[in-house]
Amino acid sequence: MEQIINDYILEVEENLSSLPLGDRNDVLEFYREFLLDGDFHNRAAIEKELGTPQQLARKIVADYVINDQPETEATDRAEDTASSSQSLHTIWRIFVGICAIPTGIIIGITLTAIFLGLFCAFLGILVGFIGLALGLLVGGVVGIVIGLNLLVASSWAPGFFYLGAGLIVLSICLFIVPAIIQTLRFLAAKCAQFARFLGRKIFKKRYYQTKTDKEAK
Amino acid sequence: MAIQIPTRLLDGAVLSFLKDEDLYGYALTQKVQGTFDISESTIYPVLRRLKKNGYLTTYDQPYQGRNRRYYQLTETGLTLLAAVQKEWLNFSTKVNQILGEKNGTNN
Repeated sequence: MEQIINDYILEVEENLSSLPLGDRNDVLEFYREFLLDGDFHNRAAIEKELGTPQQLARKIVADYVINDQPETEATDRAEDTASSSQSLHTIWRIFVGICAIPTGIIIGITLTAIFLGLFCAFLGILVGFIGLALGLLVGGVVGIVIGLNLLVASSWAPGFFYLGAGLIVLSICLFIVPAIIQTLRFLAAKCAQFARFLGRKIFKKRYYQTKTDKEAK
Repeated sequence: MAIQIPTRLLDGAVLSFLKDEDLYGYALTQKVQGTFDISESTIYPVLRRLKKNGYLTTYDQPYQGRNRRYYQLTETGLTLLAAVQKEWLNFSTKVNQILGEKNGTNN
């Protein structure tokens, strides 16, 4: 009997690698104790109560991602400095967590669409910005090269014009890159905040699902 | 029942169950489920949040060769419980005035 519980807990643990060790052990101990005290004899009974290990793990992770993040303004600012990839990672985990909660098909599709939309929008903006930066870089370098060639050919006025224009475009490029990175970071953080907000809304409705709800499924 | 228990009241209920005695996870879950229709995986997040905010502490006690983690109310937890009780009393009085027996049966 204990072996069945251990196996179940072990499988949950395998899906909790994103949690800090202390938190992971706490939550695993809670459920191990719960199953032992509740005298759960077989796998089917356990899964009926808590869901599959993966489902339980996703709920746990989503609870951490959604509720352990900054809520006050002061910590919001800290979040804005989080890297874009961290924010995207957060969004992903919230999404996976929400997927573990039984929702209707319509809600599921809508959510998937929203998250996909967010992701595509972010990717689109990213590609657009990279294009802009590359365009400026190439334009600047080409301007300088043309200018230098003209200077070598002793066409002073157009030569200096191209050289100057090239330098200006290049410096704009240098100014704009950090701004782009900041903007992307900001956007990603805002998207993560939105995902979290969405997650909280859905959790309030679905996470606190009732026992009878679950049995009706 | 179409009315879902708000988080605030669930917090209050958990604190209230712990007011008289310290309880371990399973026993506490049983008590909460005895009154409210909520799933097992709801309890842990509630306990975690209450503990994180200092309303609860935990201690382990050996039981049949393993540990049971007991949840214990703190001073701030007691204060929160009193606050939730007051809020609920206030709120339920108002709801009773509108939806309570007197209005519900006089037609």
